[in-house]
Amino acid sequence: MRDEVKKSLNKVFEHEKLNANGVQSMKVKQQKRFIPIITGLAVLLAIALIVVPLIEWPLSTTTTTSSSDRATLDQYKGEFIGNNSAMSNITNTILYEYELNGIALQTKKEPYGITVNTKEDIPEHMRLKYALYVFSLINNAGFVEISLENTTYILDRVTLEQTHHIEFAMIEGDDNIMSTYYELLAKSLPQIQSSREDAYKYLFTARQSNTTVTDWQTTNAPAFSFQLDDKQYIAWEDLFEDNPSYYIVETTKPSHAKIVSGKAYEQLAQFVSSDYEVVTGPIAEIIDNQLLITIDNNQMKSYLVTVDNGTDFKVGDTVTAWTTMTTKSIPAQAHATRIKKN
Amino acid sequence: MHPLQQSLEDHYTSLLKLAYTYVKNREMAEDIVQDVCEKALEKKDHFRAEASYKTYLIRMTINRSYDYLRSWKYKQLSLTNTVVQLLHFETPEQKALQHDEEAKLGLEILKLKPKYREVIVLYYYEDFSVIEIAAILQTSENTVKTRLKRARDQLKKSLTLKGEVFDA
Repeated sequence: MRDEVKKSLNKVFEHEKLNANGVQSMKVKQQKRFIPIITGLAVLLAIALIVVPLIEWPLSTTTTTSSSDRATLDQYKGEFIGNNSAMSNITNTILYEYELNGIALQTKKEPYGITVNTKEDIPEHMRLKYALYVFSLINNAGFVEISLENTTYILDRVTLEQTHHIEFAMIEGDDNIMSTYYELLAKSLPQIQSSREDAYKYLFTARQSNTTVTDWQTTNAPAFSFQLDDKQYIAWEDLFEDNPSYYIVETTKPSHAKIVSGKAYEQLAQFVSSDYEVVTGPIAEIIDNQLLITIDNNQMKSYLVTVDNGTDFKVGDTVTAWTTMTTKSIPAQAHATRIKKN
Repeated sequence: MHPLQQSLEDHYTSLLKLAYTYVKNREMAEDIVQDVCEKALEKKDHFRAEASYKTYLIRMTINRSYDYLRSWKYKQLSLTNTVVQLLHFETPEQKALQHDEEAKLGLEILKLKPKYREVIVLYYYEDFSVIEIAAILQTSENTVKTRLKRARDQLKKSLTLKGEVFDA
């Protein structure tokens, strides 16, 4: 197939005269050729204004969904789990990036819910987002189950409501669902310590850039979360940008902004990469190069810290560890950038 | 000559073709590659050595192509093209291309959504491995494999409908 593709695409390129003369030709600014194009465009746009309402537009060729695509889901507010069309549209809109086998609706007995069978792994933050849309829009949805082969994730309406003190029936409109999503997402992310306010100030340049970011740019796992002036923010690394950059989302107002390179980014990068003290306490257990450090014998507050050489330590040593980031789990996990015995 | 400049000279046409597969317009593809060249040369001292120059330039070209796909300029041009097609303003060259048997597969590839199109082009045309494509697109190998499979399925379906034989 490789040869066929090459031959066929080369044919198309040949027709388009894409065998340019190299870098030299590119250095000549090509301004003049746009003059006839602009004139032609003006005429064609005039025609288009008349014709546009009369034609059926092909589907967009982009791979994204936008806030307006999501907003169309508002029409399903108050619907019930038995509405197959509503459930399909919600699923396809929120999980558009993933390959799905299909959905199964539990409508016979309570709790009612939906099972989404997938062909690929759906990351945790996207499972949460999907569940929030289902619970907020569909009155009687009690659970969301996402299933890939032998792995099943279940998100339960009552548990989410009780844990986060929210009432899904009261959440209306795309903006409010997204705000709730970002608020819950922020809680599950590594929190950057709030003492570095000078660095936070640079994040405000993101607001000034006034960039709107589409959904697909935030389908990757977010990098971290931070607070500033009582507001919560989430940061995504922009993996498609050749210059280092972050998307910043304010959780209470789901508008996006972006920091792209420059001084602000450098400050942010330094801020993110510099380590901070994560835990001080006695070592309860050593497994190879991992030290289980406990605080007040409380498993919830324990840290599993990875070090370069676990044999330098023994159970009972009190240590302080620094890290750049922790992974939310029980116990929380971190790779120590520095560690010292006290 | 700086190695990056040499790499630009070596891969210019290849980048142009790659950009074309995204925007499907020669002038725009040239603009994209021109932007990439200018930016790459401007930033040549900041080049991070973890990728080859070619991979680095390909990533920049893809990023810039996506910027164009999102831009007003692109949407305006798409609108113009749609109107042109509706009014049958096709040039004799375009008509000839549509009827060229050898070009059919290529034209169908260009009709795929960008996320499917790019994996087909990178894998079958640029000869990158799944691992390399995953690195270029900053996604997982499984995602690349899934997209390759879906892209092949879509090509098979569209070519079969048109009575073509497609061996995926």
